[in-house]
Amino acid sequence: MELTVLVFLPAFAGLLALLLPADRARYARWVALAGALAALGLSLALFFRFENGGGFQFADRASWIDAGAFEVQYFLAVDGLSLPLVVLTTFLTVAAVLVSFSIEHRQRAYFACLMVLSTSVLGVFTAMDFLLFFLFWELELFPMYLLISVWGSGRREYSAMKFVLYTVAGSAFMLVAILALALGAGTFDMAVLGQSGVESAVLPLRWVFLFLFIGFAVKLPIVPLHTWLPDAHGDAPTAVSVMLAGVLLKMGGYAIIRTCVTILPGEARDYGVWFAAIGAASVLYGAFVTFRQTDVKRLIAYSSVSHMGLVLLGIGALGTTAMVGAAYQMLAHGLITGLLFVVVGLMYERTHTREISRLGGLARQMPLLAAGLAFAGFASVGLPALAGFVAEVTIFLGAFQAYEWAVIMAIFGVVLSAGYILWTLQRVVFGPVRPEWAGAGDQRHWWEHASVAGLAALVILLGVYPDLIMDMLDPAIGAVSARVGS
Amino acid sequence: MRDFTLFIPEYIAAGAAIGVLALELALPRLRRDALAWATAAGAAAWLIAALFYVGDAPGDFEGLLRTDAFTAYFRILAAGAVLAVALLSARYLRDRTRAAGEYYGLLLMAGAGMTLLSAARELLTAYVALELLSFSLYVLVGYLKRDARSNEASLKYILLGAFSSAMLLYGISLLYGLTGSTTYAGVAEGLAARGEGTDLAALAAIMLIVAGVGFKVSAAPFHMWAPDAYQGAPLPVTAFLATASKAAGFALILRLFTEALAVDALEWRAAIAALAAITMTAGNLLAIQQTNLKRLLAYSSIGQAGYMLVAVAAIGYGDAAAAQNASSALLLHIAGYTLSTMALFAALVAHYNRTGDESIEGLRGLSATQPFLALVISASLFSFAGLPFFAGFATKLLLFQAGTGAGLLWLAGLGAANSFISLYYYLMVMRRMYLFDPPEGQTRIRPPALLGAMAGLLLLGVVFIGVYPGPVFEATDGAAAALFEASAAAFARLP
Amino acid sequence: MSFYDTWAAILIASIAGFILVFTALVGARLLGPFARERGKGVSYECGMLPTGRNWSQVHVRYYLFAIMFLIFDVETIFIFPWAVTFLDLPGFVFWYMFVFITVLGAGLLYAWRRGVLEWR
Repeated sequence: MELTVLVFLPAFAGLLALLLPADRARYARWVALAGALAALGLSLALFFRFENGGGFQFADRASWIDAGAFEVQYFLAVDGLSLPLVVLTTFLTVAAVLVSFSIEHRQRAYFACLMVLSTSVLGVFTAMDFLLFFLFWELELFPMYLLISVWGSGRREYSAMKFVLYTVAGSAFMLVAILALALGAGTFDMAVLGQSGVESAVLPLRWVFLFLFIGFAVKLPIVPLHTWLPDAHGDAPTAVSVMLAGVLLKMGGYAIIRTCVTILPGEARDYGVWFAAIGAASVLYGAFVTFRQTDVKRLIAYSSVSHMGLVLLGIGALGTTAMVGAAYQMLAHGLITGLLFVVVGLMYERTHTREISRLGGLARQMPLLAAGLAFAGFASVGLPALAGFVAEVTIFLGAFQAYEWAVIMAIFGVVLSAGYILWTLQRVVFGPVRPEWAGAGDQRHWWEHASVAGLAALVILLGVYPDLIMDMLDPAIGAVSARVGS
Repeated sequence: MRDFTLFIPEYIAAGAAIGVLALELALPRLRRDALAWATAAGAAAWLIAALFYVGDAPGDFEGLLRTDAFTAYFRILAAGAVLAVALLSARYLRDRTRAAGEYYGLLLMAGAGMTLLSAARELLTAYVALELLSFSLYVLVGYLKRDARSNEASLKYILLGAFSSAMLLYGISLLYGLTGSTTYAGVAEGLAARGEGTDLAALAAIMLIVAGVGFKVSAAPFHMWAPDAYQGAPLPVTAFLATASKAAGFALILRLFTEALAVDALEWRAAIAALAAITMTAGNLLAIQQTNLKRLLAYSSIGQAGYMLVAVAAIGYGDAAAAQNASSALLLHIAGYTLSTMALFAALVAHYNRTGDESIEGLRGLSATQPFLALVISASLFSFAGLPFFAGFATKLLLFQAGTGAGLLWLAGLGAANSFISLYYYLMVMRRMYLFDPPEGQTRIRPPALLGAMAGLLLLGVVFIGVYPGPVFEATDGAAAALFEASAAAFARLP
Repeated sequence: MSFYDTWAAILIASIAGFILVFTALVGARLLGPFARERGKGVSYECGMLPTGRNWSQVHVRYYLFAIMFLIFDVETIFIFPWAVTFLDLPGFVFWYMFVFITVLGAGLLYAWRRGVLEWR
């Protein structure tokens, strides 16, 4: 029951917020915050009750669509791979609600969308039935489309449409692969599929693998399929950027480990080298393109492409260490990029510009935000004792044996990331003081402090005490890599 | 056996049709929407009577008509569709015409024709039932006499409908010449036993029949009448065209292709698969550039016909079990599609009654003026696109699964890709409602009670099928089982 | 009987019919007096020269009458074979035709009451 409650709690809170009477609309944010906090508390309770190495736990299972030829179940469960992502999601949901406190336009609908988004992501991370997984995967489109197109800025409708079309195009491939796989194995149960694997499907298995990968790679994103990301990030409201970078991208990485690698280990062995190559290419390409950005949010978006390339590289190595590093990188990147977007969003609220050339000298005018940006930037570069460092080192250690060349390329990309982050900091935070931002003010509301401080604290916690998560990831990932046989 | 009690529900429908005509004749000063209530009452009586027949042992009328779970399914569908369309028409017709009795009478007759079509097991009986449905629709489409578009629509529909009927008749006569029988069972026997050198004739007969029924379900390239007819017809009749008439076409196809023509599946299955591929692609691609809402829905319904044809192709490619699965999935898809379309049209009629505007542009800002209608429209469109939690997802999933099960993965993939195309133009419609400001001076208003309640109820049905298709699936499974019980002999002879 | 025996009668009848018609036409042409004048070239040779254009609109009411006529005209196609074999058929066939004629009659009644039969 716990997982069902956890998954649907945010959506329930969103529904409540939506149903508030019109003259009480400003309470929507409190309803949403209460729901998000409750979900966070519940997920933390599960986190501490979880038995490391105990496989899938807290399972909720019921028969759902029993249609003769196949059976679809309602089946939620978490293991050591998904539970940290669940906690990350609930945590970032709280942060997203907090940074949205200043939203004025159609508040009830806004918070409803945000909370439904949270439910869909939680569903993706906990669903163990392939079709249910797909449902939650698609559910995320509705709130995202509305959030970007109604509350966004810039070319918001274009960006929202682009986001939807890319995702749905990927989903079409995914659905074909899911159907082929399920018909071949006679079940949609991901736990069963992950145990026994699939010998044959209606399609050649490498096509199934490829189709699944395309569906997930759009979301990850990898280099040729990434162009929706900067647009969506650039034009989305702050909270949506946080959710998008923080957890939505992780759905792709999570799904690749959970389905591509676990269910089709043979194909994963054959194509691991491609994963590594594409991952390394994403790291480098993302880093180079980041240099050219003039818009802060687009800059962070492209740096995400670069960092998610590391995830793919880690998965491609297929070893326990590398994949644990990839999973850890997903968590670290979620927190760090979330923090970056929160800070940049708060700056945007004050300056109403995202042009790097128009910002400058903010260390004087908004010292707290500037410090936050600097902290997040260093974390993003991979400063030791912060979360990103642990993840990157683990990936490099794990993948080095398998793909020396890819790791060297990726390390070069990380060096580049130090370059663009420091350069950005220099242009935005330091430099001559701009008179036009004199009265803009610093972060001052409690919700702003809370979201920045909370995220920063977690970044440090994951940096200095990685075993908290590693112990959980290790057995789960170990089972996966045992299936691949490396 | 000549058992006249088998079709008591249809007697009620026909009686209600005559009753409505007599009512208008006897009381010419009656309020025009009273006729709509009378029709709705008749349809409701028909529906209730139909429910009494659910679960009865299969009945047979002289080998011409068969009542079983399959017939019962379409009977309920027809009665429900007539009931819904009658309610949709009440205010629409009151505002636009002076005499409405014939409209409602013909509506009931069309519904009765649809039931007979689903019961027919003999070519000429099926043809007569089809014409009963078609002739009623020809008149209904052109019912707005003073509207040039309605006239044009009716004329095009009649001409192309007559053309397709002729093709169907040619096909039927060739089949009769080949097999010496017009009952489905006899045709199947004759086709199985036909001599050498008759392949060409069989192929011609079957292709003519495929083209004829292709017209009826508006499959590309026989779809040209649909956009004009949909656009010109009165809005409730468009709803009827899109749901009941299409469902009737598939009822005919299912009976005919599983029983009479199953033995010659080799001759038609590739054609049907190609037809499915062309239909869904053409429908969805042409829909993108439409500016008129009814035309857009016409093309979207052509696309839906393409998805449905996937199941028909699966019947041809699969063995008996796969074919039964496919039929069941097709029936389920028809149910979900009918519900979604009716919900959509309930909202559109409510919108149209107020504004008289049927362009997509006219929907702008609907979320601000009538949020409930906007919600219903979006939900129905999402259901068409096959997004999760709406009927379209569950039904399309089963449909494509059935296609995959019969080895037509490429069609299922094409269907998924087409759903993705369709999402684009559905989102364009939604964009008008949610992202644009309403025209100057329009404020929020309540939706009309009746149409609003209808739209809400139908929407509940759409979501119910989407979230928990189990019960409806059981019903369609039963109907498909009955269909294949009737045609077991034909499938046993498959090579 | 061979194939030709079966169809010979028809062949002979057709040939005879053709010859008869042909001789009649040719005979009339050869034997009859023949005068050429303008009035003979027009359609409907009935003593009056037609006036107006030949593309004229027909009142829509004609169609209604035409359809009514057609319905009852075609009805005989069903009634005639029924009447011919009536005595050999079981009794319920009477009621079939009764229902058929009643439906048609009701249709006529309806049309009458709706004013279709009045020429306005």
